[in-house]
Amino acid sequence: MSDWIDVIVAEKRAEAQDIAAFVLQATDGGVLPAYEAGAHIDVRLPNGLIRQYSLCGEPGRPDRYELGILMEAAGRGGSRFFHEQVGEGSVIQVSPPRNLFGIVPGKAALLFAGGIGVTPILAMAEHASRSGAAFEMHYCTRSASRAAFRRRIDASAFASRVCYHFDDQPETRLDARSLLRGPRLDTHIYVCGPDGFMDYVLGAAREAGWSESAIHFERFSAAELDASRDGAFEIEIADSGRVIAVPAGKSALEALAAAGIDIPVSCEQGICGTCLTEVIAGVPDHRDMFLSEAERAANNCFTPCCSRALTSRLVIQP
Amino acid sequence: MSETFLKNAWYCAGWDTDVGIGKDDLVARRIAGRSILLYRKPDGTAVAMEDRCPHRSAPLSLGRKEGDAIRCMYHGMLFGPDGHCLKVPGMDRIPPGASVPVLPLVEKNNWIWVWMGDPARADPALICDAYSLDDPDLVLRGNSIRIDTNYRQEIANLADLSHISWVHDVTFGGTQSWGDIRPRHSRHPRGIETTYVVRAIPAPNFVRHLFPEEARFDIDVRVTLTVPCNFVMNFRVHAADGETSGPAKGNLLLDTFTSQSVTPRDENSIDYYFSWGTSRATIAPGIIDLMYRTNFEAFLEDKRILEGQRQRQLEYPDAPQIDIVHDAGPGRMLWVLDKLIEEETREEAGKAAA
Repeated sequence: MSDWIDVIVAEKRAEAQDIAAFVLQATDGGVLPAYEAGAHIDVRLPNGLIRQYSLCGEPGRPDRYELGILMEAAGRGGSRFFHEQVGEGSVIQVSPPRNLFGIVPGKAALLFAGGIGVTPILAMAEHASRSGAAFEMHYCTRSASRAAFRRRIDASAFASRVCYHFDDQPETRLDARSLLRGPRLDTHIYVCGPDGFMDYVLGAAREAGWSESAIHFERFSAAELDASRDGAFEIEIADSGRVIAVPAGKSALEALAAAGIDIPVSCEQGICGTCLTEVIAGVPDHRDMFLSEAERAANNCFTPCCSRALTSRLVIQP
Repeated sequence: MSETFLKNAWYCAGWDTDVGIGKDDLVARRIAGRSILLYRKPDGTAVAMEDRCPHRSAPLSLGRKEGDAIRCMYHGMLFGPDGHCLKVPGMDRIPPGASVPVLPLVEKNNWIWVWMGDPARADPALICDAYSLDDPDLVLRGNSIRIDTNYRQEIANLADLSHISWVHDVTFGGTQSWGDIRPRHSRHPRGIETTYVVRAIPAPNFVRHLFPEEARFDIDVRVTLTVPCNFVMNFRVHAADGETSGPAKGNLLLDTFTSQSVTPRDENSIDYYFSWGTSRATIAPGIIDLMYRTNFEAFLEDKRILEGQRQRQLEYPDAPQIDIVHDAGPGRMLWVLDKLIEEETREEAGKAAA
């Protein structure tokens, strides 16, 4: 990627327990590339790590990006670096925003945020509120002290549409089954959060019969391989804009081949790298033995014979 | 079961100097499962035709040149350079079907190329873009070797240069770095392209004595592989620049160019034509001769491994073979080849049905 933008950390503030918000501005103080609710940026840290973070800036500030980052002591190092090494005045590089988790216009929205998954969901709530769309937001955290952006939400025009659910207050627990009972054709569901949370909400939605096209999600953690994550996702072909659905239980390569897009393949086990394909946007769920850790972290290619996606869509260039 | 070869492709039939204008210069080749006769007409134009008399299958390469024509020396039938029978001794008329298939032939960059498929589709633009021995900016020398292996094994060998560290340890090798690279291969309709830099390696063993022990080099490798099995490489030796990625920026010490064309004779044997040399601008005393000799020595190293491998593969026809990371290049190139063969087979089946 060549179009990295230098940004300076204009503000770093504690948002909740283990969560800090970072406000970024262009080093020249200019306007940053615009984005829509649900978008994320790649962040390149000075130590070479590249991580994706959703944007949750307040509306009406085209000169600022805002990120909410959870300190994950057991993570892959990106969040720890951010919390420990990046402060006000630090300069880092970010990519222009990309959106694989956009809100579908003209539809009501059921927004589900788990933990730090609140960042894109909050941006969506603000967008829906401004555009006058019907929506409801459910925000789940382990405790009230871990709910970031609470002040901003409570002071917003849509405060009454947000339900908090805290694990340590059982009476507030999210009951996704009853919330999602009876799919509504005019409503789409948006989910972002840790894997267990996602699986719970997505499972409830699918069980209730919501159509896959009405379910949107973004995963943010590359967790251990788990068969329950063999779910459906979409692949967009960069030059044609064509979108191909990859259903659960079918490999990306099989879905592409069925759509007439031939990719060289040999071992079909993620060992040989013959099928290695460029990824332009989205985060692959790497399941191969071919890429090194650094190559995986760059997320600019994947092996479609066995790897899947952590975002609901991958944009590729075969 | 015999191998299905790609038909609509140009196959290298040898160096232009392999086919002279002498009276005995009837060159018999085996190309992609067919026997081919090469000869030159008195005006120097080369002709390729099936090396089989349509009467009782005697090799025409055992025949005699008569002007532009070839006489079969079994019963004396005479064939023109277009394959048509001109004369059957003792007969006034030519029997129907008395002709020999002639193949489209083009000479380009010192190589003779023949088209094994539909003559109407023989597009010279599809001929491999090799370096010419006559290029005024280059000093190259050519050679050839026969290896008893299946050409797919040779494709796999050329699409994965990690074997330099192991097969060519005493010639081109001398470092394990070749075994650590995992290049990215871009795909084209008829081949793959691969570029990468191998960094901070000692001089290859065959020239190590010419440099201080601590000298380190960055090797900039640019390879184009095309079907059926043509390998064209610009291999540039730079002084190591101390970087770990990006283009090699150190002084260009030796700019080398090699063209290699592998022609399957049948499923068990290949003819391998190749040249190597340097740019005139970076040539060093004696280097062309040393490269020429070392290249042949190195290909004998390949021959030993490839023939041993083929032997084992024939002994263990059903044994599974596992993949490793170095199989990406071979996987891609063979996939491209197989896809073209598959398309051709489908087309032929369609034609047969219609």
